[in-house]
Amino acid sequence: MPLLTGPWVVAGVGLCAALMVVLADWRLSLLAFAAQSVLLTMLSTRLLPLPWAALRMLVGGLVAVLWFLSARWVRWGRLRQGEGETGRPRLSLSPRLLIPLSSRLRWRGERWPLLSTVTLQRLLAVGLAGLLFFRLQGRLRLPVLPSDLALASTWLWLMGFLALALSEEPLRAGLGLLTLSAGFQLFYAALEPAATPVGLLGSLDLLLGLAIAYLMVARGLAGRPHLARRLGLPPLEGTSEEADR
Amino acid sequence: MAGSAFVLGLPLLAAALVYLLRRWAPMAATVSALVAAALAWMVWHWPPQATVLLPGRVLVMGQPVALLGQELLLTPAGQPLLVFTCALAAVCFLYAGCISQGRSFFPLGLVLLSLFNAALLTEPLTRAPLLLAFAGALAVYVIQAGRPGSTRGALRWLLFPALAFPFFLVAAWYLDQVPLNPDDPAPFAAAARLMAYGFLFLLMAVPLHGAVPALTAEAPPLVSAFLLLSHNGVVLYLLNALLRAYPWLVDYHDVSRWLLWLGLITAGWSGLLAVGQREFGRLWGYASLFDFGGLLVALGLGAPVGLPLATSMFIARAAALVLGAMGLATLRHRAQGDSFQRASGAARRLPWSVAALLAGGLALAGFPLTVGFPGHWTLWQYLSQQAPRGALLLLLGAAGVIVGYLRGLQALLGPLHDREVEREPRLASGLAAVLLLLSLLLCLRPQLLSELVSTVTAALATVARVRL
Repeated sequence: MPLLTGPWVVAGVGLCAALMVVLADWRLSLLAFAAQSVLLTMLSTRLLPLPWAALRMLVGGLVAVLWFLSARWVRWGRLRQGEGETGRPRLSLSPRLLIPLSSRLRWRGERWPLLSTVTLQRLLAVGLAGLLFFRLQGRLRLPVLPSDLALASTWLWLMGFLALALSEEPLRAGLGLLTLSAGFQLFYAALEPAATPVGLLGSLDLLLGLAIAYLMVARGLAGRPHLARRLGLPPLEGTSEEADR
Repeated sequence: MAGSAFVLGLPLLAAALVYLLRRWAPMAATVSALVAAALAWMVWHWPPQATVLLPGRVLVMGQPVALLGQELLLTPAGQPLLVFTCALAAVCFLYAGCISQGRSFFPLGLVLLSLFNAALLTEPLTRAPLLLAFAGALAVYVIQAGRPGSTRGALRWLLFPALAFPFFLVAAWYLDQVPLNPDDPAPFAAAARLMAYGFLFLLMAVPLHGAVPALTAEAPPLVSAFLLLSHNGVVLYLLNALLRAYPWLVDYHDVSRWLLWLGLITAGWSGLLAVGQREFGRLWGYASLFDFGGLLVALGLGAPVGLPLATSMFIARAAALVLGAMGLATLRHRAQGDSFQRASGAARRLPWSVAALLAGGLALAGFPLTVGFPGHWTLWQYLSQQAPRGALLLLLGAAGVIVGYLRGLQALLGPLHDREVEREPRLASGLAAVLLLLSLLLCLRPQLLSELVSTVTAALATVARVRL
């Protein structure tokens, strides 16, 4: 089995999916998502011709750039400053990977480094999902798909569902949704290795990516009209009053 | 020219024009409503067998179109629902011209109409949920409608169709494997199981109901009504069509029993949750869930009463949801919110809208003298014979929704919260009044619908069995 489509790449895909769920920093999560797209493209070459497989990388890359720009526009990191998913102050584990908010914590005079409850919760959830996965992997039978790709596909579904369950933030939910979709596409490529389904599913991913980017901007501008003005962003759409006038 | 290409292409062409007009709401609303109404009229009057001479073209309504590996074909079974989605869109566009539902509603509403229609025309049927996923991704923009803040409604509405369609695609693959080894029952069982999972996500019934109250709480009301009704309509059509096309599905699942229990749990749970709501949007969402639960129960009653009763309940549901949406839209617009606190005293300033809001909401619970009463009463009578405990659960659910609306009424009749609340626009109150009278008429003389119901039921029965 060639090096670029072998077990190391499968492990890499799994690791990227897990990191996407665990990491608190949205930029690193996006990086993991982009890396996952590249690795999935490599794996997909075992099932599809290279140009079709490369479509996944193209779509994944475009979506990652789109989300990155949207998040930067609305200053996503600062928006979430001091808020976890539940709106409570977020504590972090290490300055580089898990502490987007270290400055605020120090400003508050709390001890540093501190353990992130949200990160820990996610880590624990991924651990439990991993246990479940290893427990059930003997029973997993996906038709046509080689066993290592079946494992990758199932792990991606698991991580996708986990990301969706753990957060209602557009960015994190979007990452979860596209991870789920990636797992399905890997499976479906073995069932229907044809251009039409690959193109249709790729275009759906792109459309979902655009929708999530729009939601990120809508979420990010909440209560910050000054930010929209300062960034020169037009109002997303006319309000009722505007339309009535 | 093929009829299906016309049915799908006309709204898309109109969407491009309306996009340019979107800043002039009355103009955009008029064009959108006219296109949707004209399409409804055409599909109703030109059946799939018809050949129509248009200037310079011959329109063959039943001619199929091949697109991206699937066939789009106007069938007698899909025709009533096509008329319904187009007519519904026309009414929603018209009202949105009076009370803004977001600028993007007109162009994107037309694109969504085209996608919902495509889902009704698609062969094989298992590809239709993919189109619903596309519709869900586009619906995000009209649900959010430029409102900064919570994105829960849009996100949840996006999720469920996106999670459902893979099950149908894999089920289709299993069905393709059947001819290779016709004696092997495994592909049949796998396909039946996968379709059941897919429908669980698509139906959005309890416990996967989170998208519905989130949608009604956050989306503009007419957008909610349009999306809920079109989505419900397409999903129920698909359920009926798949059960008729693949009759062996019932060998693997007792579909009637599943629908009955799913409906009862949905109705009971949503009625329970409706009691404690403090916002009309969310309350309306739970009321619509209760009604949908009732509809599933009606389908679960099976032949011969199930389908006709469900059809009449669906027509009543459409009238009730649109009526409630009209009232809620005006209330939100004028009172700057829909919480009971903000809506306090609004009945004095917005009498027609408040009447529409209450009549629409109570109709969803099957309250007497509302459009929902005949259907719910018939259902309750049948159910009390077949499953008395289920009938009691349904009654308790209805009581929960009614209590929720009575609490709302108490607030609406209370002291005025904001003295600046303007009176309702005349055209909006006129439209609400017309629909109120129509729903009262349908309540007092439900037999007016009987011919329509039998036509629709007969059309839905024409789905041909697929040979594997």
